[in-house]
Amino acid sequence: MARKKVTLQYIPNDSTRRGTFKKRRRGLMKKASELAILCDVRACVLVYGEGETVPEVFPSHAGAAKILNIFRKMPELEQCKKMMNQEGFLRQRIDKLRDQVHKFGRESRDREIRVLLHKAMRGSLPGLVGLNIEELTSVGWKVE
Amino acid sequence: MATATATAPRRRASMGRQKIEIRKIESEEARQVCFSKRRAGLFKKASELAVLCGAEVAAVVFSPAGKAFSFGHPSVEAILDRFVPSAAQHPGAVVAGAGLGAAGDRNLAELNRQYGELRTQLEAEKARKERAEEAMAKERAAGNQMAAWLDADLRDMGEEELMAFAAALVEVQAAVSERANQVLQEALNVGR
Repeated sequence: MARKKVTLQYIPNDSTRRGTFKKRRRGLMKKASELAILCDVRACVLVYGEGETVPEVFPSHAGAAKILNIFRKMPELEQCKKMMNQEGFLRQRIDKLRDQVHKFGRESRDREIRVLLHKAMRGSLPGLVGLNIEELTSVGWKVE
Repeated sequence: MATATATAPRRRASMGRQKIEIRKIESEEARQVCFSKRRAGLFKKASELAVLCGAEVAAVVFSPAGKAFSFGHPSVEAILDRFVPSAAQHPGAVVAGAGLGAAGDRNLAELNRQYGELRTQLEAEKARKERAEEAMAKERAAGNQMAAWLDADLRDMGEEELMAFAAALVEVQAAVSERANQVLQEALNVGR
């Protein structure tokens, strides 16, 4: 797959958008199918494209109707517990990303400090010049 | 029956892209893990389709344990009602459908922007960690006794070695705090 980073916003170019829509819709259906088979679970996906009145459906109109029937028959609480819309979903992913950013930041700093300590110990930092106060204190703590 | 596809030599975080056969996973545990991951992935793809192409999407999946997970844009209920108009109106539908309209769109646009920003930030942090790892590798290669001590397992070292190591550490610490004081002094002097 061509690994290009795509900005997450509405594609302004009509033909590009249509092409992307067809490709991604196909991919989405495939993923749903794989999920259903691999995990032996009931799954359905409904996609209404822009200006479309008839949706593309996985597994089929009849199959989806059956699954949605079961869904609807569940108590409201069970339905809503793991229900998400775009906003909720985005917020969740944003939170996860933030955590990851912090984690990587911590790990980077840790390694950077170790490198400084290494350098100091093998004497390649005469007089420890060039280090700012922050780096110095961090190295000091590391030693302890 | 997994065959590994060729991956770049550097990658080792996880097993990477593996081509797998599409049939029911036998191990219950593996099945549950797979479900969690793929369900999240499915919702992510659905979400992207909605944003990128202005589509209205809904996905409903049941976990192996029977729990119902659903995602919908603009809302699960809105899409389901469109597909299979229900006789009874669920009060929960209002909540799920909240955030629509111009204000809702602005909200989503802002969230998407934040998401994009964080993604870029994460890439930057990952690159930074990569650089730090490389610097560490270089240090290890260039290293001498002192550096080797830092990496070694303390339990493997003999008593004499440990004492020498401790002495070296003390020396470094002294140098560091001396230098730190120096820097602080200079800063204070400049402030005057």
